[in-house]
Amino acid sequence: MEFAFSTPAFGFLALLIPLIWFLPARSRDHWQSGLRSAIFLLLVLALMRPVLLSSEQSKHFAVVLDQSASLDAQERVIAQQNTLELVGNLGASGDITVVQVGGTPTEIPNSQYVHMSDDSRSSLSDAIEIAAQAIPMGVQGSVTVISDGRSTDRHWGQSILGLVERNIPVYTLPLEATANDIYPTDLRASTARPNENVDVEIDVVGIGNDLSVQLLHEEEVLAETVVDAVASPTTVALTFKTPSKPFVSVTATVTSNPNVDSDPTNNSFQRTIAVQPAFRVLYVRDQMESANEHLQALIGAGFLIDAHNAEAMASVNLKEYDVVWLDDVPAHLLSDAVQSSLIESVMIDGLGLMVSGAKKSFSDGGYFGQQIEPILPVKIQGKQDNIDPSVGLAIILDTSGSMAGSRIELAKHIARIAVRRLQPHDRIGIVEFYGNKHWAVPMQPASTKIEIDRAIGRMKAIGGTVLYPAIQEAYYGLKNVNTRFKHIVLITDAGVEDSNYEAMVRQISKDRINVTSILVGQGGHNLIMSNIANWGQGRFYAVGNQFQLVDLILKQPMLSSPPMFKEGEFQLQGRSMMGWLADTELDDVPPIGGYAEVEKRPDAFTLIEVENTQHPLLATWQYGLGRVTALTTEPVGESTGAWRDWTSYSELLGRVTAFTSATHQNYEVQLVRRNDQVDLIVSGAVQYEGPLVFRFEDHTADPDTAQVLELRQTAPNLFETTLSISNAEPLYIGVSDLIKNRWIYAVSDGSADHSPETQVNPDDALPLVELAALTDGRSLTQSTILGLQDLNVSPGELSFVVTKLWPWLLLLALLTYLSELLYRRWPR
Amino acid sequence: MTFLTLPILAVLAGLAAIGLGLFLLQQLRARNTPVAVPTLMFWRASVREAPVRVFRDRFRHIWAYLLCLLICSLIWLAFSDPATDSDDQISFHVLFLDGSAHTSNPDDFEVAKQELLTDLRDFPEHKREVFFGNARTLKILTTGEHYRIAERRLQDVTPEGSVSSLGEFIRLFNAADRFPQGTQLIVYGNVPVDESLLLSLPEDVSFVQNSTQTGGVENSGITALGWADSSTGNWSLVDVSFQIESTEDALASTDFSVVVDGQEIAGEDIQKIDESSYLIQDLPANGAVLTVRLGVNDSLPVDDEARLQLPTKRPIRVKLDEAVNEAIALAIQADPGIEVVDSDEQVSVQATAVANLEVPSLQLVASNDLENSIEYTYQPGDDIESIRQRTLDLGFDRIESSSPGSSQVEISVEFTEGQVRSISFADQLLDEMLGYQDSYAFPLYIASAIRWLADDQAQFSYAAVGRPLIAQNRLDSLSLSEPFTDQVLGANFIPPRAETLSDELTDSLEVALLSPKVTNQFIEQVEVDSEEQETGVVFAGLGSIGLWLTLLAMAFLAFEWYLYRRRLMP
Repeated sequence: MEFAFSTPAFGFLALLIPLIWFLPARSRDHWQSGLRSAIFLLLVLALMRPVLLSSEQSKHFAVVLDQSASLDAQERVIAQQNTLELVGNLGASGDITVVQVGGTPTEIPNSQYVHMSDDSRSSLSDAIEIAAQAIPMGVQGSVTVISDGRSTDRHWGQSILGLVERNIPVYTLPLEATANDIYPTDLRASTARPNENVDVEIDVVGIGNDLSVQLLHEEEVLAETVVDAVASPTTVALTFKTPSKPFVSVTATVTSNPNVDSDPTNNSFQRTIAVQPAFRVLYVRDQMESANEHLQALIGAGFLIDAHNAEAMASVNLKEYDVVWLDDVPAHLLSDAVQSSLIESVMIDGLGLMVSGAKKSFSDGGYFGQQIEPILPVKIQGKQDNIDPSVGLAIILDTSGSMAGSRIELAKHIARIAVRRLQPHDRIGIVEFYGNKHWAVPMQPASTKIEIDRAIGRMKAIGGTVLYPAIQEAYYGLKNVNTRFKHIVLITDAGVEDSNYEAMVRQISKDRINVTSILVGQGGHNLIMSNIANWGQGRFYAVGNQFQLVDLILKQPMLSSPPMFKEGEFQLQGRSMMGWLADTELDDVPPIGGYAEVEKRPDAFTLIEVENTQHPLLATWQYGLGRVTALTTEPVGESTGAWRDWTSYSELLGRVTAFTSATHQNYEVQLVRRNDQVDLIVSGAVQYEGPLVFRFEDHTADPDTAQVLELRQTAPNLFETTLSISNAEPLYIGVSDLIKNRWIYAVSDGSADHSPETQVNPDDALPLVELAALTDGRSLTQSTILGLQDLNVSPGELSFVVTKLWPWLLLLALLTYLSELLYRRWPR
Repeated sequence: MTFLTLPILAVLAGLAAIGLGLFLLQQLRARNTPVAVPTLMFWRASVREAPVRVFRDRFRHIWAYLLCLLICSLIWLAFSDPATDSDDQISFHVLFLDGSAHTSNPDDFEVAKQELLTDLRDFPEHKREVFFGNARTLKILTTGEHYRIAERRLQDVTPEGSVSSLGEFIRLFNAADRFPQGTQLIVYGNVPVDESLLLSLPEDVSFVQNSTQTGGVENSGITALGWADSSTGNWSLVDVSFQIESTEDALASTDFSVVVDGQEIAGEDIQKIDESSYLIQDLPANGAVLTVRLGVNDSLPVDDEARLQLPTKRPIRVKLDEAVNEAIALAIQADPGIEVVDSDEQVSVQATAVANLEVPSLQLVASNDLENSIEYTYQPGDDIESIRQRTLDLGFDRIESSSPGSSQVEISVEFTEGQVRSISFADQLLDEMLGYQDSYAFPLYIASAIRWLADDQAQFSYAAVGRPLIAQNRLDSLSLSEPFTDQVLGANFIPPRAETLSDELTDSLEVALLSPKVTNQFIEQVEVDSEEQETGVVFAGLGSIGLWLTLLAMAFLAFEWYLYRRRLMP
């Protein structure tokens, strides 16, 4: 208990009281002067406002009453009844504050009443904060939430932390939200670029069948689908082609059977999609002849083409481009420095490179041996050159008993001659058959000729003749040998068993292995041996004696030639790779009028090739961080004349260009809206360099009227600012990527952090049971509220009762005055 | 007009009773009766006939009566404690004491507190409330409570290194009708208020700020401190940047020290990247605490030190099945954040489906044995949506954008709750025809998947008061475990004040103030509707009508005493 004066300064007035005894004249009636002094003293004391402060254990109960539109009428009535019941039960235990969310005001007796009257929102976050603030500091209290938990925002974090810090328990009475309502709750889009397909995901809540989901932009239907059955919540995917605007407002609408959907007014959801700038294409061609314009018309608005000739490449900043397209550019026009820069940009910066054309590039464009050649996904042959192709040779040598004598020696001679012809990079193996098969010389490089010669020398004619398995063995031995040519040479006297040689030898031939047969000994001709040679696309020789020995020409040094530009009509076939060809009907690809005949590199992927050949027309591969794609014909020339009427060509070429382009951005932009402020966070791949950030006035993104925003560097790669902005106001942001010389767009729709009242995703609702558990409260039921007399409350030691003493002093002064009047008028 | 002590009828009844009582008293007064006698001989007879004192006589001396009535009425009314109704434009006062970092100078805070307590006496108890705001807003005094209680409740309150809750408090004026029409908000302290925020106040709400600042403020403070992965590409190192700002009246501070786990970093290792920003490169990512401390003595000590929790980068131990796909093995072996081990693994990578998993596992499963392309087994609390979105972002959307009719390229993702996380990955997705394993995204997906399986935690670039936490490694995993989200039931966790935080997921997280708004604080005396600034505060203690009535009563009492002693009134 503490006694105190509120305005002690008035005490100085007491110093004037003795004057009563002397002014205006000395008083002789001491009783009367005493009474008058007492009156003044009491009044002075009253002016000093004395109070008595004593501790008490008062309580304050705050109740959040949800009356928002997400509840149906019945649930709202239940909530009201429970609140009245609770207030009635707790009223005797302490003060009560009721915070009502939405709805019409409710008459709650014996309580302080706060009404959040905005029916379009039911922010339980705000309601809980107001309820927590209603409990004075140091006063015992609790919060009770009677709600369905469907808060229109998720900003309850700070309030809950505050409740936990103050040890205020939260009691919850969960209500049921309106059932049988179908509505969209969110809309997300993948990265969008002009004229490109963008994937949109729409979250739909509710249970129903045959839902029609449409995506609209300015009343135009961009995409639509029908969902057979929806089990709440579900995600519906749609794809649409993005208009060429920086910011596109789209609206998702869900239409369902009115009998199933209780509220048809909440079936649309609007979001703005930021459309990133078009891919920047550096198109390089020796003789332009409006090819760039044709290409631009072909690949569409999703690409911004800068056309240059090859000589101008040296002065171009490649970092500004997503893809460089070399179209029929002879290699000699690309300086070493330009090529080096291109390679570095592809490997390190992830630049995309498209190389297309025919005669001036792949054919005789001189790319062979240039710096740039290894990064292409196709092999380009150089000028004519002598090459010694490798050969794999399997000799089948008959060592059966019938070969005894000169025949075996002749056979050994022939084999030795064949071996001598081989180079170390060739491969040799010798199978002898003598009733069984046996690798006298296992398949090995032909560099060990001495050992091979000795092995041949050790062969002796013994046993029977079983040829078929020996040919099989030789075939298997050669099959896995990686040489340019492969041969099987069969040396025998033709005393062999009957078998189905034809099928087997033809199969061997199909695998590009030639089979040659050599008949040793007298006889001159043998039908089986000549047929084997015929089926095996080899030759047949008859060697009667040592003077008829044959020198087998297994290979010839070749003159390689540069790729040939083939003209004519060529049918094509395509292969799918990760959506590169997407909806393109590969069966409908029109024939091509010409192409450069090249080979794909082993790690490259062929997207389109010439039918029945392995000549790639369109091939691609990853090179470092970038991608390189080769089109071995002209994209807009005579060779692709037939494609002008091919409806899918534009889409195909656009997609291939897009997939080849560098997609990474130097900056990633996040906009985090919290009520009336938006945190703008730009994380930069390029460290230590702050971006230029603009706020556009509206969705037109006019840079002339944009406001420059000042960002702070909060970490080496983070730049941030916080904007104060009305919650309903949309925010259009453009980050100027100075390195790529373009914008990165981002948008935060007005009220993006608030769901419309009747479109809250139940998954995003405030978890009431967890809230009660977190704060050491309890989840209540209607029955527990009925008998509830008190609730556990937070600890508090700052509750006080103040007893005001001054009114009683005033009353006493009044009575004293009256007494004095009585005294002086009492008849004596 | 209302009366706080008595109901109005009782007040009127009391006045009537006083009037009547005085009327009766007035008649008690002895009165002279003039009697003319021709001689003193008749004196005795005249006294007998007309006594000089009578108990009751007719009512006389109306002015004396009225003066007594006035005095008694004033005292009675003062006892009744009259108060005006909301006839004035300002009918209610909300007093807000700022206890945030803005007013953290102890002298400033004490002055602001005393100003509030002084002013508080002048507002009628039923027409004012008092709030205190630092990271949170707390009600100090509710309607009807005596101001002395505010003194007790504010007795141990001190300012803290937090941003002010005043902005949120002002915003809530629009959210609910908490206060009567014509409320005046009076802020005590140096918290700057955005003009846009004030303009958002309801029209009938006026605003006054009583700042303790006079003139310019000399202050330097640390306004940014964060880390990022080393620009050298070394996985186990980080770069740290920080910023020191000063007000116009203060010289730019270059007197600072940087300490990591007790070791001071040499000046030559700290690069100056612009006028106020500094960079330290290649610090080990070992979870140490880095402290930047200014060597100045300025008006706000709270921003002179900032602490940063550096990340802890430990390689994830992964056991590889020998038969696992080569592309997956290569992606894992090339990842500097992964260590391939033979035992004691955090994650296993299997070439086939394995039942009854003990450790989280990535399994390559034959497509025929899997209903979906990718099947995730998640633990309760995992952010499924984030996993789904990140999966698509990592190249699968490109597969999906292909022909929808083709089963080869349609990606389906399924989630099942379980005790141990796992990912079953259809081997079909590694088909050469899809080309996914050759794509740029493939190693990123594998890296993200392994990190999710290993329950990689968010590592925040920095933690600043009032700012959302930004995970530096947010793109490294399919979904990160974020500490503190359980404490806010899934909402964004925003550190409320400069302190060391910890929870089950993280041992500690250093939160620093890092607020340019605090460091560069500059208060303009903001007023909304200046006519309303006249708060009725004249001087302390005289806000009550009762006091004035009492003083008036005393004056009349003195006057009456004078008249009486001068015998000018009976």
